[in-house]
Amino acid sequence: MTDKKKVLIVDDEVTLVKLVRFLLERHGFEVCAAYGGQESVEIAQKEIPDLILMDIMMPKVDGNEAIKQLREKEITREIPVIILSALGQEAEVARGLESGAVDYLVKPFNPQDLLARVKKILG
Amino acid sequence: MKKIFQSVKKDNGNSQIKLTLGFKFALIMGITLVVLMLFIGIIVIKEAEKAIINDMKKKSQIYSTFLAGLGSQILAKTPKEQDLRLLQHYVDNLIENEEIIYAYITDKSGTPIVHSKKKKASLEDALVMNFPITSDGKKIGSVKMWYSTDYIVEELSGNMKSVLIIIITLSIFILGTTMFLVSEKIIFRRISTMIKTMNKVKEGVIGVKINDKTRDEIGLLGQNFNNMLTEIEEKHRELTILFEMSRTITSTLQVSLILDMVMDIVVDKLEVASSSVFMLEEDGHLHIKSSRGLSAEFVQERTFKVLRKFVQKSADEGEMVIVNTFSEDFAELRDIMEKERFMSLINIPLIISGKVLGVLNINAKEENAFPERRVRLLSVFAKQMTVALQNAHLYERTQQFTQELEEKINIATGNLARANQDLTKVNERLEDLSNAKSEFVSIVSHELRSPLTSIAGFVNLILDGETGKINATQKDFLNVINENSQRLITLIEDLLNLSKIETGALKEIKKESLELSELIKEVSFSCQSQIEKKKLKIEINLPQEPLPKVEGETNQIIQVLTNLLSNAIKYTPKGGHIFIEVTRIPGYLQTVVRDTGIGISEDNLPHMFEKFYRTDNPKVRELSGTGLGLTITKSIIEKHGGKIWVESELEKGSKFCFTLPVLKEANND
Repeated sequence: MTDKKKVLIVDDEVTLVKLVRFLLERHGFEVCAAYGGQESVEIAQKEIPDLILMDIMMPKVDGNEAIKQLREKEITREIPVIILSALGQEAEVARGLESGAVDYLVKPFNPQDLLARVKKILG
Repeated sequence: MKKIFQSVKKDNGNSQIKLTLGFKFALIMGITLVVLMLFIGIIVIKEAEKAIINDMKKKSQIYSTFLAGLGSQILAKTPKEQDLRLLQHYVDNLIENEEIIYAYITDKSGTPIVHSKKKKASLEDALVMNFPITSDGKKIGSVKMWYSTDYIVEELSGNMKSVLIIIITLSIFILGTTMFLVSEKIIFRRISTMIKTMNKVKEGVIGVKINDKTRDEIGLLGQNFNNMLTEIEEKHRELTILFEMSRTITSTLQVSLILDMVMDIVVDKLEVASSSVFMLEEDGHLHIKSSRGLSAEFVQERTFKVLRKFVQKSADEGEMVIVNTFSEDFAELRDIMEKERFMSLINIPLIISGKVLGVLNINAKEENAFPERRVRLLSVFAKQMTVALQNAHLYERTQQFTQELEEKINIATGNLARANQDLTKVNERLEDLSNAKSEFVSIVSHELRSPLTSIAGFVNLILDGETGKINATQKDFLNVINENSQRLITLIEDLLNLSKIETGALKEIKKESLELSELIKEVSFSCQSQIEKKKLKIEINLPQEPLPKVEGETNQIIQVLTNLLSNAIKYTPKGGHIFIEVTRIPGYLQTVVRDTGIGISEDNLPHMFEKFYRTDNPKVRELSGTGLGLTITKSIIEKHGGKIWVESELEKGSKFCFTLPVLKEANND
């Protein structure tokens, strides 16, 4: 069980979490989920996932803020983040990548595309 | 235009020459020459005479010595006949000398014993010479000879020729010197004095005069020069007055002030007794507007009326009137003028463009106070004054007009300001609305995206077989769901873009320098799979020479190219052709995307760039599209300063053309 890579999916959209969880679990990843920014930071500290898939537009603490908090904590600092966002404008993508994300996927995305990127990072 | 009553002519009688310079010279020369000739002549003649007589004496001495010698031998004793004949012979020989006209020999008592046979001329004017004959110291007789004065004169005149040449040479020399001295005195000195005076004048010294009263050419020259100076000074004075006049009257645009100023100048500078100006008013009569030098009594109704009547005539006839002296013809006028001691007057009508504005009346205490030159000056005065008055009138009218205009403008401005305020409010509201709209579109599209992501995601999972096998019908239907959700996604994307363009978020386009051909290659490459899928042939035609760069934002130009190319792909049936070509036109690059597709009907063409416009072509209806692509494309091109248009023919294909401005420093990098 321990050789399974753990992915944390953060999104306030329950169906999307369900979709990603289904996809990744089917392809042999362990998936945990958070439904808000604040929650994502807490779970990340507890679970120490290998990869975080982060939505940006979320109520209260948004994705960018969550990434910032994760970067501040030593324990979560090194975890790679892929942003999954509905914000597809150039400036927003740039901002996301600047905050430390390794990749940026604009919603709606093709599930196979997401899978490929996750696999690439977690090798 | 001018009436002069009893003008008197003056003549300048000072300008006649009494003695011309030439005459003076001739006189001096003549006198000098005569005196000199006389003087030298006398001296020379005297000297010559002396010389000739001496000469003769010497000659006579020889003769007489000989005769005396002979005589002394003969007379010592009683002369014999033979001896007397000898003496006779010698005496006669003596006469052979042309200068001797007569000669004889006397004895001791003085009685002639032998005399020459001939007497060549009268002895009256002859010169007598007496030589004693002695023997042992005792006088025993004498030889007496008469010399011809004619001979002397002849001799003299012979000598004179050479002397005359000397005299003439001498005279010329003396004359020359005299002439120089005289001319120095009567010409050069005076001329140089004159030049000095002229130089002073040139340097601007005023009031200098040439003080040469001699009545010759130079004197006249000086006099004329003085006259000229006086003329110049007078002109200068007039100019100064005119200058002051024009400066004064143009310094204000107030009619009453102008009139007062003119009156002051006329009276002060022209030294006349009085000056007044009458202006023609709307009732057609003259009214005095300003005056100087008129006594209170004079201006009283009854007397003044007479003058006014006379002035009115000048206004009615538009003619200048000069009265140099009040004769019987002006009896009525004279009566009132005499009280003020006015002896002459001038009335000058103030006329501009043939219209009489008024009359300038000037009175003087002397007769003939208005000679030609003063009249001329006054005419100029009047002209200037008229122009100034006209200007002032125009100015007043302009002022009035301006004031009216200002009032109108104020009212209009007030209205405009209110309208502007209203407009600003409306604008603000519109802006609010616009912002609200774009915010709404933004929120809605984002909110739509999340569920669509799920829909598309799950459908894709099923289609990809992640959930197990599906049959053909299921796959077909799922594909429909997928395609439609994709369409919705595109629509949301386009709506967002359009909303941004419309709210001006794209107003500030980034001015990058773009290699258009590179972008075309990039876009056609990214569409390669779609092109291959439909087995289309794509041809990109770029000019041989390198193209200049264009100004624009990379992403937006890529969007334009992508839109046009995907439309071409979409609406061109399998096996069709797509051409992309770029040409250079002045200041721009023109890109054409042409296809051999279904084309656009003529009635649809004008609407191609409208939002959500769909043609009625059933073939198009089958093909999905958001109806915003071309609208966005057009917005982008226009924001970049370019133009876009379409040419098409149904069933033949479409041709979309757009231009983009070339980068200013194109070709440089």
